[in-house]
Amino acid sequence: MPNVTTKDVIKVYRAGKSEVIALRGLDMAVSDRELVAVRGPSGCGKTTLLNLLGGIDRPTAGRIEVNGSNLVDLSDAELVRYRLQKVGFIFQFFNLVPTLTAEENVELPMRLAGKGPSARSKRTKELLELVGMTKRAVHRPDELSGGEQQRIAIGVALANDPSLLLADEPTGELDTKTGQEVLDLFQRMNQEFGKTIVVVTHDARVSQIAHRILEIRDGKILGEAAAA
Amino acid sequence: MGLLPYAARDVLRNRRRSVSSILGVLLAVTFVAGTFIAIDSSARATLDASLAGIPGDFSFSIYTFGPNQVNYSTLEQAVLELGGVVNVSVYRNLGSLAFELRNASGRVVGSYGVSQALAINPDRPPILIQDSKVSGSLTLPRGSVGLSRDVARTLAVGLGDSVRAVYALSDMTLGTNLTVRAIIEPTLPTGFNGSPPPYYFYGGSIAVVDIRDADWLLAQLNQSSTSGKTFNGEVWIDRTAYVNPYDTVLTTRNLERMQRRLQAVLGSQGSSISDNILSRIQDFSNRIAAQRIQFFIFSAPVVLLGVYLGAVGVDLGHAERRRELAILKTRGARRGQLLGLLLTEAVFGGLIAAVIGLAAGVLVSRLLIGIVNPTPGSSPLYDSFSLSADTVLAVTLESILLMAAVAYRSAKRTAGLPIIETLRYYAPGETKIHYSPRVDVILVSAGLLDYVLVWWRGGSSTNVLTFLVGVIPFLLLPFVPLMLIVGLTRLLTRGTGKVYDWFSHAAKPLVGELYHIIRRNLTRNPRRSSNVAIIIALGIAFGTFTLSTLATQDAHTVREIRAQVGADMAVQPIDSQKNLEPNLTAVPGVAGAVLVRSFSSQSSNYCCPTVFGFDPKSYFAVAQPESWYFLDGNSESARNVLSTTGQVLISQAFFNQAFLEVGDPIYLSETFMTSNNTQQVVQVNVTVGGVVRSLPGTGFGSSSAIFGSFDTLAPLQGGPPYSHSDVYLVDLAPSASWRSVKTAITSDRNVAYVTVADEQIEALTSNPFARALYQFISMELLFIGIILTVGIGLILYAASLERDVEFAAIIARGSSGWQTAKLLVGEAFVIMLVGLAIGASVGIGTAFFATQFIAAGPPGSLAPLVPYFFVFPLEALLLVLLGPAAMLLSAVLVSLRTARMNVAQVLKLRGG
Repeated sequence: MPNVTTKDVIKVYRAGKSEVIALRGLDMAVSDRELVAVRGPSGCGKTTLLNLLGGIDRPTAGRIEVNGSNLVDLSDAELVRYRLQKVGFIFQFFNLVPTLTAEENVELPMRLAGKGPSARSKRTKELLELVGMTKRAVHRPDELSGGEQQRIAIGVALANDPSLLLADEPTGELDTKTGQEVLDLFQRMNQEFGKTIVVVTHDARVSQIAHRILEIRDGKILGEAAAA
Repeated sequence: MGLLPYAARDVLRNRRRSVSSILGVLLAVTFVAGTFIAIDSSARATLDASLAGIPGDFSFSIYTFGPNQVNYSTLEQAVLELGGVVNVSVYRNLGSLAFELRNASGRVVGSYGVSQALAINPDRPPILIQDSKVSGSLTLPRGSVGLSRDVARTLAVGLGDSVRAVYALSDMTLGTNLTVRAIIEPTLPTGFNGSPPPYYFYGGSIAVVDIRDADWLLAQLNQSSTSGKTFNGEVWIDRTAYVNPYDTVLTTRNLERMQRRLQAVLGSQGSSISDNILSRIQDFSNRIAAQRIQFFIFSAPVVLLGVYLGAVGVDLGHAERRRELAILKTRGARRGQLLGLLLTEAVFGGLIAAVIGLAAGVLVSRLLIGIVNPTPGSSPLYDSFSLSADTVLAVTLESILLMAAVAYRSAKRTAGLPIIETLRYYAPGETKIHYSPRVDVILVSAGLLDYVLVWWRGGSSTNVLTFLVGVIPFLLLPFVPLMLIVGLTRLLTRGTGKVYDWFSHAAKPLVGELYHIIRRNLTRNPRRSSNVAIIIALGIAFGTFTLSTLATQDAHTVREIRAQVGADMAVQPIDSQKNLEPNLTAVPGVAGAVLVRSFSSQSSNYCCPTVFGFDPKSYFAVAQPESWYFLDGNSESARNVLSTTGQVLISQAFFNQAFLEVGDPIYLSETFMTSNNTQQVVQVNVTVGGVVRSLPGTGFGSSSAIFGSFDTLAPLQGGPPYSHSDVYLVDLAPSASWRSVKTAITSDRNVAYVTVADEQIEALTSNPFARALYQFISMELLFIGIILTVGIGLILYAASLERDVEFAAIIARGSSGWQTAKLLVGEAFVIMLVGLAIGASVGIGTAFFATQFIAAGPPGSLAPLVPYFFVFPLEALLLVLLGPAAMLLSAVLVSLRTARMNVAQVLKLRGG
């Protein structure tokens, strides 16, 4: 049974008097525990799709179902709960809270979810170990390298154990070696922990870890490319 | 210079950033501009009114005789032909005339002496007559006269009636009949301020004849003289061309040259010229200068707060532009160029702030104009404002200098940041407090040392050392509060980030577990927190200090007045033989009255106390002395001493001067003449039963005093009336009006004088100077309020913009918009709490010490009899409560934007 389904999704942005149609009836399906890469040229709607899947933005029309619930029908409060519990977002520019240490950043979503101190502490240690950042736990983002910051960001995304991970150009700011490490981490999340992952990227290496590669053009899925 | 157009464009194009950068300086210069414009307008209006009433810009007198004797029209023409003269009035003062009204039989039925009989040219009359309302005509044929209205009314004559003029100072039998052709109502020029020139109103009445007939009239009165004639004159010049009140040097030069030309026309012999403008212009100039300095010093708190707000605003603006500036550096811009660019932008900002500040200052000046006027009540109305070149220059310079000053440190730091750090999303250099405590430690240490020295001086005997050491600290005393407020506030808000850590726990009830994030944010970015906290702390500190100091001083003054009067009222009788108590208690509204008698002719074995006697029970009921009068704070024991016959209380001063102890005997004696003309001596032996500071209504100035009951002092009571003086203290019923009670008591024939405590307090608070100061301080507090609310709101807004990405990322990870907004409000709440706690503590503490040490007085002065009890007034409480509440409201409003932010847009996730 597919984990994520989109049907006739349209997204129109209005900027002053002009309109930009980012998605033009996009249909897509991602199965449970699947790792899907989304590729396409700049401005084709990749990130818009990710925003909609992540509950950060709402579509102009269409349906987006994640585990059977239509995101379009969710209230604002339900959408907040969805972001908190069901989905983890990984950004190209990491977007960590600059004044918090690595472990505090990982703890943050758990605090937002109201988890107790012992549960938080245990989960934080697990996640830091998982992303290989235990030794850098008390460092702040400005004291970490790009790769380290992205590892922490992955830890943050996993904090409340969501079933769906969304990553927007996660290797875009990283060098080749670090980028590869991050991709390996995604593969591990998928294979060991059964996470459904959607990665928006230009990085050709993603084809090595993805089950499928979706090609977007002009706001529509054009087809699938074969994974390596 | 290459970056100059870039600087101008940046200031004009990014208006939001420019506004938050210049806001602090703008508010400061608006207040200063408003004050200066108010001073200019007030002084200018006073000057204009003063100049409107002068007897000519120049006035002259000339005595001509013999061959030099001149004709008035020749003289008039000669003066008019002088360049710059626009009008002249030549007239003759004929001295004192009397006007009589006779009946048909020739009997005098009325007369009036006129001190000023003027012979005038009706075409060019003196200013008083020129501006007067005239019935009839000033074109007076020979044999006619114009009289002022009071003269005509007294003599009951009207137009066409005949009066007889006689010379008042000589033979009054000679005279001539004159027909009344004009009745003049002398009117002061519009807007005239102050006393009219003496020239106008000697005796309040005038009479005028045509100058052509002056010699004829004097001949009729047998006063003609062949020795010469005295002409007076009023000369008006083209003030627009020759007088500039804001340029005293040029005006002095112009007037001196004009006076020289006039002198040449009048001739050097027998003539004198008075310049009626210059002294007024100089007075105006001095007044403006003195007031500007005075009110600029008073404005220091607003300017200081504005500077801090400006520094924070500029700092935020620079922080926003880190990346942009780094990019300029990567393109080859040098550090010095960037510093120059940022300072140039600050100068542009300063110019804009000056222009807006001057315009807004005009509005503010409308509120301040009645305050800065040194003579409120007698001042003219101000319909227009005066904006002098000096003010424009001073405000513009101040604005530019302040902007450059507030921008310099931030610009230097920002320009010096390494490119790599600056290009990063998060620059650690931006979180540190760049603060050196040296200056603040010096300020606080010097302030505290000053207080210690003043305190030490107060407790030491006077010698050369204590005098010398005492003078300088006392002179420094007025500045110590400012030193302590600035120094302590900066040390506590900027010295350590720990204070933010402690206070962040207070946010827990508001944001729950998320307080942890607030705590981390505040502790690890103390710079952002301290920038706002210091403004709040300084504003609250200045406000509470000012309000508490004034309230404490007021309460002290009220206590002093009550101590001097003794009760609600003090009544001095005309005759001490008559007991006024029954009369006084019979007056409606009087709750009680008691006689306090001082014995002036006594002597004792210790020199030289004044002895006061009264009935203790009634005295305590009426005077109701506060506990501070009693050294042990216990009025009951003092009352018991007085109720014990033979025991007295003594004042603390007498106790110290005469080296007395409780239980010591004092021998009081009084010598007076009996009705048989024999000398009689009475003696009373009393025992010191207790010591008091003083007692109310017992001649507050006399520090050495003995207080006893009438029973104890009974032998002294037998003396003649001159041996003692009486005063009745009166207690009013709670709802009684002192005015009606005073009226009733004053109507008693036996009452010489009534002193009312509330009346004296009212007189004190309605003092124009005190009122002006209070109103100015109120305006200042209003501006502080604006800085604390609008200013901080804008700073929080700018700071929240800088953190948009951070907030958006938190929302993307599962926080609701409102939850994130609560984080922002929680942070603001903690910062305000820090500012409030530090500001209120420093303000109250400084006010407490200031009032206590001012009370110590200069070296050599006695400690004040009435202590300074510290008062924390309701207004200060409101400031402490409402100020942060308003600031919190600003924070809530700012956080609304965060709550509703478009996360995708902020994170730039759109498209791609």
